[in-house]
Amino acid sequence: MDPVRKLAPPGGSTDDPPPGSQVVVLPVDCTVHNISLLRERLCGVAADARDITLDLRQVEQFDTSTLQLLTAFARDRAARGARLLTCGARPDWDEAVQLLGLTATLAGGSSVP
Amino acid sequence: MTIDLTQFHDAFFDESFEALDSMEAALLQLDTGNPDPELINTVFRAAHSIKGGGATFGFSEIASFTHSLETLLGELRDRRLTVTQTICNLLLKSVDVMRAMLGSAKAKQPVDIQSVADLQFDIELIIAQRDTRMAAAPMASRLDSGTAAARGTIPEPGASVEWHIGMRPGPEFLERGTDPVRIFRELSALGTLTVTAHLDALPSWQDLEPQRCYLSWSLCLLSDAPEAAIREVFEWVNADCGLTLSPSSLISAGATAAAAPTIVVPASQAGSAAEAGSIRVGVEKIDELINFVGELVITHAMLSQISRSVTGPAADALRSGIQQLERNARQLQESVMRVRMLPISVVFSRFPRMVRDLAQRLGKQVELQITGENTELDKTVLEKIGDPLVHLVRNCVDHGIEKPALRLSAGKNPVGTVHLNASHRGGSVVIEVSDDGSGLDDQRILSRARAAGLASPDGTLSPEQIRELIFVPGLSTAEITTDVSGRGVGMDVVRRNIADLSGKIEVHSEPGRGSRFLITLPLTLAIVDGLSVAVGDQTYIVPMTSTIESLRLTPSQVTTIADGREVFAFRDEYLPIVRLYKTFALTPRARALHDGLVVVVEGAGRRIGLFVDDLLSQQQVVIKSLETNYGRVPGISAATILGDGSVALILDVADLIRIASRREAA
Amino acid sequence: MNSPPTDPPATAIASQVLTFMIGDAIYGIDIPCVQEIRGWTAVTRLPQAPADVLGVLNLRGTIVPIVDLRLRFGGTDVQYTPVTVIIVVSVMSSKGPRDFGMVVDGVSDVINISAQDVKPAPELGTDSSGTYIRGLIPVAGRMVVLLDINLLIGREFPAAGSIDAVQAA
Repeated sequence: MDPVRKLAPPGGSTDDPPPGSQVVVLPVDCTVHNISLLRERLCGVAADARDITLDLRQVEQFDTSTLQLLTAFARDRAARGARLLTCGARPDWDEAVQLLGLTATLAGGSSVP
Repeated sequence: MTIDLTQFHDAFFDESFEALDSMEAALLQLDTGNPDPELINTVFRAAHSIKGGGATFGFSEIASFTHSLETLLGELRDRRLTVTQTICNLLLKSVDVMRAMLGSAKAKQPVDIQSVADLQFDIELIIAQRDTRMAAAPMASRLDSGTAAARGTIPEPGASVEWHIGMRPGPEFLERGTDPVRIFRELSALGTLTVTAHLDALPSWQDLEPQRCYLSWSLCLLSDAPEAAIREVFEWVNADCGLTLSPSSLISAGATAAAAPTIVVPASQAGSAAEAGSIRVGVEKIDELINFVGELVITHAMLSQISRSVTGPAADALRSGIQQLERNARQLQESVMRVRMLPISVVFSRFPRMVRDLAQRLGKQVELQITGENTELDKTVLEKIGDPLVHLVRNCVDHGIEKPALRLSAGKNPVGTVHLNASHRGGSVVIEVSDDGSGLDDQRILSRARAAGLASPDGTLSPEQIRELIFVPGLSTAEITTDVSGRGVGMDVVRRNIADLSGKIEVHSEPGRGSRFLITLPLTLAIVDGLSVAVGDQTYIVPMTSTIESLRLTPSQVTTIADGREVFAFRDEYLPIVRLYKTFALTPRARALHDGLVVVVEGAGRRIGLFVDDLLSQQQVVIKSLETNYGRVPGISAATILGDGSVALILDVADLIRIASRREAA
Repeated sequence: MNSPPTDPPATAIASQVLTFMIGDAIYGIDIPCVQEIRGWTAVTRLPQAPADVLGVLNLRGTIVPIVDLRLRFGGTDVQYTPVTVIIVVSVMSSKGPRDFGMVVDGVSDVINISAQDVKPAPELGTDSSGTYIRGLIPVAGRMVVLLDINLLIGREFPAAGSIDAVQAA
């Protein structure tokens, strides 16, 4: 897939993780080659009962495998009564979520106030 | 006058099962991209003959189902429908259902109507869709100077059509670097795209293998682009992805197929079946013939023995006549034996389907190579070798072949190979089951064996000895028990089944390169090559396949250890001596070891020295069952009739070793 | 089978019985189960067989076990001479029809009997022989013990697995 160039964050309102939630910073490479690392990071916070915010600002590359893993993770959060939020998502992230038909599970968690 | 048709039922069933076999073989060879019309014809003819028989003999469910099937096949043959993976899977499922139906009808059991009806519905749905498509085509191509559309709807230029696309990627889809995001983005450039993701196959995130693709999608694309442009988007994904594409006027063809692993079967298999003229003969008639020929061979031996003591002017003529008789009898025996021989393809033919299903279920890619499938083997042996082979092939696919990702990272072709080969070697048939997978894990086998108390915790074992351990009851090396193998039956059962056929199995393995199982079987169970030995006034036959060597021991070579057990050094190990006269409670002529002979025999992976009075001869003997009129006898596998008409018992070496070791333990 | 021109008396259901000697006693078995009568020949011994199973013989290509009925009936001093006889019979065992040979001292006669000729055997207490004796037939002032061959041998025929038990007993 095409590497996605890092763009300047738009507006800035969703850039910073909201206070009071557990934050997971997603790595630069969120493709299938690096997917195990992402899962390990999620493992570290999975038991946390609070909302979890994914900090997407570092992400330069991603593909469906990450979105698939996050979909499963989001389902798990919902089952625990907690939310999975995102911050710092660029438009291509949101576009991918929409293209894959995963808005119901993933984009619902956008941390836009 | 009415004719009782039931007398023909058996023939109908036999022929139908054969027709199903050839149908299945043809379907497995069918290349959905470029279907060979001759293969479709083969499938069509098979279905047609079953339909005809079903109707004639009053099996209405079979006739009705095959009628629908035949209609579908007719559409495929006449190219009004294209062969898709979905249709191919449906046809394979039909083979299963028809087998079950015929099986039930043969056993006079009720047919499972629900499964038949479900499948018949699916088939008729596809036929009905074809009708819609044909009806829609002239309308859509009104302006197209009246030429009928070759396939599907050709939209009027500029008119938008709603396309329904089903996409079900195979498990390795993502790892290969194909990203559905890119595909959907390209599609959305062609029109308005609505995407529905199916999450039902997605496991909980802890259980999920993150490299694997679990998602599938239904897409709806409103676009004026030609079908070719839409297909082009999917150009690179076809091989590893179930895909359906249809204009909205058509009902979606149901679930999309999962990616099918490739299976290569030499083309010779389909063509070779049933070309030559043949007649159907009951097996019991052949067996009767074999028995009579066996008698003839014995009678000849008797005559030849008597003729030696005949003197006088006619004696020479008599002897040369008896020699002539011997040649004729041998030829007759060989010919009759050959009647019972069938090509091993009868057994091999089930594997392409099995490997395909298995690989699909395990998310592996496996190519099955079959060679030497025309090697002939006795029918009884064939019937009994099927299960052990199924077990071995399953093991290869389940435990031997690695997942594609693992293979790639090991620098191997992601598609694993399982190779089945049969060949004649001397008077035996050798069947080889090999794979290019990970090989046997000697360390794990050893640690399992130690944990199970099957190997001593500190002793060192050679790789060969370690591999022998897989045949020991109670040792399963499957890391995760799957529903494919590793449940209940183990390699010990495989070895026992093969030993029951007077055969043997050995294993070779190279870590990272694969494993190889070699099965050596006698050509027939009717005759055995044996060594006749004398103990007291009795004669016993030791099968040649079990004998290694015979030797006369000097007292110095024998060591007596605790409680009178005797052992001797043979090559680089100590073997126990089993005095056959003691085992069988006979009065021998030789009691001192140097007066008799020791025959080193091997069975179930162990060796012993059998002490006998003398060796008499090496000969082929006709095997006669003791169980027909009596029962099983410990240490004895069967009996035979010698030239003088007397009976000699054939030793069951593996059983003798078992008895000997039980005595040792006692 | 051709019927005789005159019908036999309605009360008599005629059957034929082969009688043979063991010691001084006369036994009888139904003719239809008899395959062949042959003189004694040496047998091939079967390891670990019960004492009265002498071994096996080749009878026209099939392997047939030979039971010494004299040993079965408790005899101890048995001789095998050229006049010793083997009666080959076919019995119904739990596993289907089986052929076997019985060694007896000699064959005496074939007699015609009707159902009412067979008298019930007196209860012989705990003796298990009662189970295979179908009845007694008085013939010329002597008693013929009519045997049920299926019960005598068919039922207790050694099957797989039972041999070890016999040996251990």
